Amino acid sequence: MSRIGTGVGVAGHAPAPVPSVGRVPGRMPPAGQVVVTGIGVCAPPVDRPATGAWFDVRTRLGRRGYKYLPAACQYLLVAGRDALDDAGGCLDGAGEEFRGVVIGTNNGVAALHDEQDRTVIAEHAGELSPVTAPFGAVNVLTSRLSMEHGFTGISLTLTSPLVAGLESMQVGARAFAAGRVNLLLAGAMEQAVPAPEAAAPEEGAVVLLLEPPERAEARGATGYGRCAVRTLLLPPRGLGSGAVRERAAAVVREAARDLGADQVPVYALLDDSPVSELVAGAVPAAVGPVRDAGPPAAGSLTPMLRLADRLRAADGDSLLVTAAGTGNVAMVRIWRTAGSTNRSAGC
Amino acid sequence: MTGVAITGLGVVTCHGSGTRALWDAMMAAPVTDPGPVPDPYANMDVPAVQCVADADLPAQSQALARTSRLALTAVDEAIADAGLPLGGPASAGSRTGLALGTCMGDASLHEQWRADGGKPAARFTSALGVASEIADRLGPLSVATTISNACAAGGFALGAAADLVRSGEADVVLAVGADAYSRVMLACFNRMGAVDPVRCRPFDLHRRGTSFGEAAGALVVESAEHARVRGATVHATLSGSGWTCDAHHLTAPEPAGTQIIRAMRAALDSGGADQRIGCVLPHGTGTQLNDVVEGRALNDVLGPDVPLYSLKALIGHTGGAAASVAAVAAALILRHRTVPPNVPIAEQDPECRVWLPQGVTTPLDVDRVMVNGYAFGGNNVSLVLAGAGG
Repeated sequence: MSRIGTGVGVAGHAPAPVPSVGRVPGRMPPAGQVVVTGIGVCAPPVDRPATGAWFDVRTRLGRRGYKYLPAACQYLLVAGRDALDDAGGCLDGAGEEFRGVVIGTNNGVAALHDEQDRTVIAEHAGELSPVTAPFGAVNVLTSRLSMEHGFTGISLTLTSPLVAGLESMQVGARAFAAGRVNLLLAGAMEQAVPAPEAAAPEEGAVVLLLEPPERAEARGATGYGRCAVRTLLLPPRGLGSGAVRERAAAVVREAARDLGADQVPVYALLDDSPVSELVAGAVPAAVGPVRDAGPPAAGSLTPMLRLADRLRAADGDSLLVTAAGTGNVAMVRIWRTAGSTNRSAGC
Repeated sequence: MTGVAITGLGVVTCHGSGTRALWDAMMAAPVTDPGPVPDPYANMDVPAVQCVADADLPAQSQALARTSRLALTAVDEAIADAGLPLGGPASAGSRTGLALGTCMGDASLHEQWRADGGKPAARFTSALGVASEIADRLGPLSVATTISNACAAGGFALGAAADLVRSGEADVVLAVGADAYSRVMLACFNRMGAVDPVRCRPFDLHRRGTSFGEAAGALVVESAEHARVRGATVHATLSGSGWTCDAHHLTAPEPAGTQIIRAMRAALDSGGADQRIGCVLPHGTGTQLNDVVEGRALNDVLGPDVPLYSLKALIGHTGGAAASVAAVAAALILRHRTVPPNVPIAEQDPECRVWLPQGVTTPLDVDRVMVNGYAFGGNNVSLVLAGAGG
């Protein structure tokens, strides 16, 4: 078995369930695959001018009620609306209490916190804007999306570095399995960090409309494809050598094999950390060489943008792997629906 | 036994480190005022928090940011309590997971940069990397999630940990909630006029908002079968959790409490036919509307005769740690079969028709305890813990 970057082989396309080990009998089915039936992307265009705004809140959201939301929240609302529009008729048969939202972010309010903190340090908390004070807690941005559409099922905000967006899909699959919801907006939102010279800037949002396979099938929706996600966390300071490194590599190998890494092309978003180096060496990539999907940026958005690309691509069947120096690792297996078209609008 | 087994407990609060320190404080019920934060830049009307004393944190963690220090203090106790090896799997081939709840993470890292007048010297990193520090204790994790649902984060983390066990994605999961003082968060609450200058006084007629504390709580959860095979002691079980969203307002609870009622009922229903509850640890923050709405909802679901243990009156509102610490406290109440006396309040709000036993202990006559956690954005979680024999 070869590893990322060296393997050759033939892609396989048969969807397979995610294996489960040691499930507690009678308790809850394993988190499995989800069907992506809608995609909403709100991100700067590739040919974005060096200066000038790419996003106009009035045009995209309206004149009232949105102006003072943090930018990440504005992007999220646009992407969420577009994902719902793209999915078409998905709300039929899903009661509000079974509609949920799970969103990942790392820096959704980092710029706001920076601004607020500098005000407190230089002046006084009394000088903070009353309309932005509630956004001290980042989950309020996600909840604003729940409010926008009246979704009273779960509303979760995930913040694992780099992988929080992909993690939202895994958490969504688990919520389906637990019967907590049967329709979900999952994705990532980010706003440019306050120190862009110290990190690759990210801004925008990606929202995917997820449904359990049986529900999508029942309403005749094939969607863009099916996905299954695994997240891992490796001890970032313990990977030098020895037993911990070996166990970490084994955990990565097992997850990758569960997702069929040896059956499809592997795309990787890896940085220059020891964690990424271990992941690159451990993922069995029989269908290679690995496609370089670029390095990760400051937050959780880039992996979701790449996933949206893969879901829209004709050769979309693949495994997307990402890892960062914090120890966070995520893998998403994509079984693309044959013949699905690029329906969703960009920002 | 039904539900997911809780086999390890760890906690640190302003009353000290360890479950013994927490239980002793619960039984003593001292009125504890918040103290001034050790931060010369806390320019706000009420710069006060119930902080954890440095002496209660291991000296070897001194280099870490504060929320990570709190988390690791609780994690180390929970791991030892559960009899798990540090840095390795619970048993050969078993899979370990982590579910972390935190609102602000290590926000103090960024706040320190700014207080020092600059920007990060190296790569900009998210303040929410507390899980990485825990991974360095636990070894490679087969699944991990960090939930930042503000003041309910720890409750969602415990519910998520149980789901990971129920689905078989992990054999043993550490559920952690942790939050330390954050200048930004305290300033935002000051700006909203939501900080009580006296102390945290849930259900008191004279309450004027909440008052924060620092804390971390950690619980080791696993299947009953896994616990039996490795010979672990089961302290309690998590029999159910309910998660809902108000979808109503950014900061205020929906006045009718429709979704918090649904969360409580979902937690009860997922635990089986027995709907009785012996004690509730409410979210009870001391904010005007929250306490009234929760009181009405508790009456609706459980009636007025269930004793409440109002933990925030003892340790302050500990943010993302709150529901984790409450779950640890619930396990202790189940262990001792006793509801400790509540910290005295001056005058109970007649709008909050709940039973807050003060000055006396109350026998726990039903072996099931409910924990509620609510957050800005209307994010609600309810948990039901049962005794080890339940």
